[in-house]
Amino acid sequence: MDNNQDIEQIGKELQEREAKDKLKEAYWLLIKILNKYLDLKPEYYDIIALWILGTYFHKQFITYPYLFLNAMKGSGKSRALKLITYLSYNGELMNSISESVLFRTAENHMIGIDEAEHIGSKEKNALRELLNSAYKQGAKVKRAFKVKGKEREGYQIEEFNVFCPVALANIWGMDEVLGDRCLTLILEKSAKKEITRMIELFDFDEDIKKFKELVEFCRVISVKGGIIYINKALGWNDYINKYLPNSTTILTLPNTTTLYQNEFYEKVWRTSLDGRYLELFLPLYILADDLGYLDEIIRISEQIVIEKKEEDVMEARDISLLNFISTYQETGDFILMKELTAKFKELEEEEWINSKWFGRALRRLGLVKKKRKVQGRVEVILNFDKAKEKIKMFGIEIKEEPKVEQETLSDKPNEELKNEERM
Amino acid sequence: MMNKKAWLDYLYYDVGKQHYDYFLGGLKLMPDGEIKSHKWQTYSETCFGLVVGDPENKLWWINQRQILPNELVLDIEIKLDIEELKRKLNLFGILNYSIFDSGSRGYHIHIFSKSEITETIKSFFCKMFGADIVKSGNKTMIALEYCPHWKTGKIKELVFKNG
Repeated sequence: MDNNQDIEQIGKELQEREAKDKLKEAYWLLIKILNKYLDLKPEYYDIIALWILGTYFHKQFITYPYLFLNAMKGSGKSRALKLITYLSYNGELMNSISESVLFRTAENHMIGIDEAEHIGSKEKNALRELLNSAYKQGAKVKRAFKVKGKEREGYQIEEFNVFCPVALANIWGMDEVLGDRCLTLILEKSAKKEITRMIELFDFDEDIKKFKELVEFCRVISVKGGIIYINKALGWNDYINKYLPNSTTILTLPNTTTLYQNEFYEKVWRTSLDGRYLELFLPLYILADDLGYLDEIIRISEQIVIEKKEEDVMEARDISLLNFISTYQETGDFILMKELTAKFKELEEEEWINSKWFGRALRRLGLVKKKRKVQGRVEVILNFDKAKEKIKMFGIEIKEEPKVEQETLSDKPNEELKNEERM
Repeated sequence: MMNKKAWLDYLYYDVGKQHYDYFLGGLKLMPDGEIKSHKWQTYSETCFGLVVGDPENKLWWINQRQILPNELVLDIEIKLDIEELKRKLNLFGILNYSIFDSGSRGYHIHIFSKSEITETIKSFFCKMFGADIVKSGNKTMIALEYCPHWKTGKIKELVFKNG
């Protein structure tokens, strides 16, 4: 009997093919599950599904973006986050998280952080800094712990790998630096009762069970070297150096695999994404390419980036507005909207700012306590405390005016008063 | 029918290239229904001391052998259509194989590889073909080719050979 055939190799190739088929099946099942429980913009389903799938292979990527769900209350953020965490690899959902818990849990886990407003606070500085670096491979935290020896006590260093997929949700938005590491998805309130009235019985959902079986199979194959994404990520720089017109490297004839990979790189190269955005979307592109949806994901990602850039401009204006309100002379009375708009317009030196935009912005930021119309003029009572609290999230400290004990006129001697009047 | 010693030698020298001193075993069904098992011995313990003229007598007890590390055995319990099996093997790129009638209920497909096959890959193939997963283990015995089956007494015969 001839034994020139390599069954191990044949088996590995077959396994990889099977795993990729199962991955596609898992992806479609995931889209179905997300559609069952969440009412989102159509393009968000693909992004979330890819992101969840990626958590099972995230160690093969150089960076992995955070997923940030931003919405008003009652828009299904918590449900979305709970579902994403449940479907992700070793997902852990937390409401309040400390830096210490994060780096001790990060390894081999996906972390979901609900009510992530507190991350912007001054007290959570260390956590925020840690999150700022944990989206990239190689981010580590070292801690010393005491060891008792025979003669004397000593210290040993423990190292924690903090690179992990993180999904966050909040109402108020994210500070700029951390927000730059996130794929921001803005959720809207759903009117679909068949979705909003669905109970979160994830444990008993047959589709979820099937999805987990499929994706676990793929993960195991990936651990054994069956599904390899790392090479694609690592090959990006080589592609830029070797095959692009300005390259200084001598061109060599590429083999079939290289040609196939080049097709992927060419598509990525043609996108309008750059720098951080490209870094964030590359893992999703790699996955999408494997599933055969690269073109679609590129289109969606470009749209998200455009929205994000517009959002950034808008946010910058919102920050100015928050700053303006938080430093405005506090009063519990109604203030004329026209007067507020005029002052803000003067400060910003922007012609287009009008009462309509100003009113909407105040409402969007939730700064209006009461509103009334008197003789056709709009007046509002503002929530100054909220403005101050929100502005802190963006790292802007409000300088509290030193409270000067107001001296009453009657306390001053008559002579002094007379002198002041003369001056 | 192939000579037992010649087959064992073929496995040791040609298939295993002397790398695998595989185990040999024997099972016997007693009239009262009890199953007696002969102590396992390696190929070298059993065959190296033999001289020309007496081998078959000394090897009477052997009807089982260890599956080699570079061998994949698909133990299919039901007698499927052989053409369907051949088509499936072909589809997966397995071109060199031998299909044996197990002498019991189904077929044994023996596939030799040029390098060792991991347990994972063996079990993967077993699942793909709906074969007995136990046969993917590292130290697993299988009925010896061209020998009577210990239970039925039927000889495990070659049905089809490719490559």
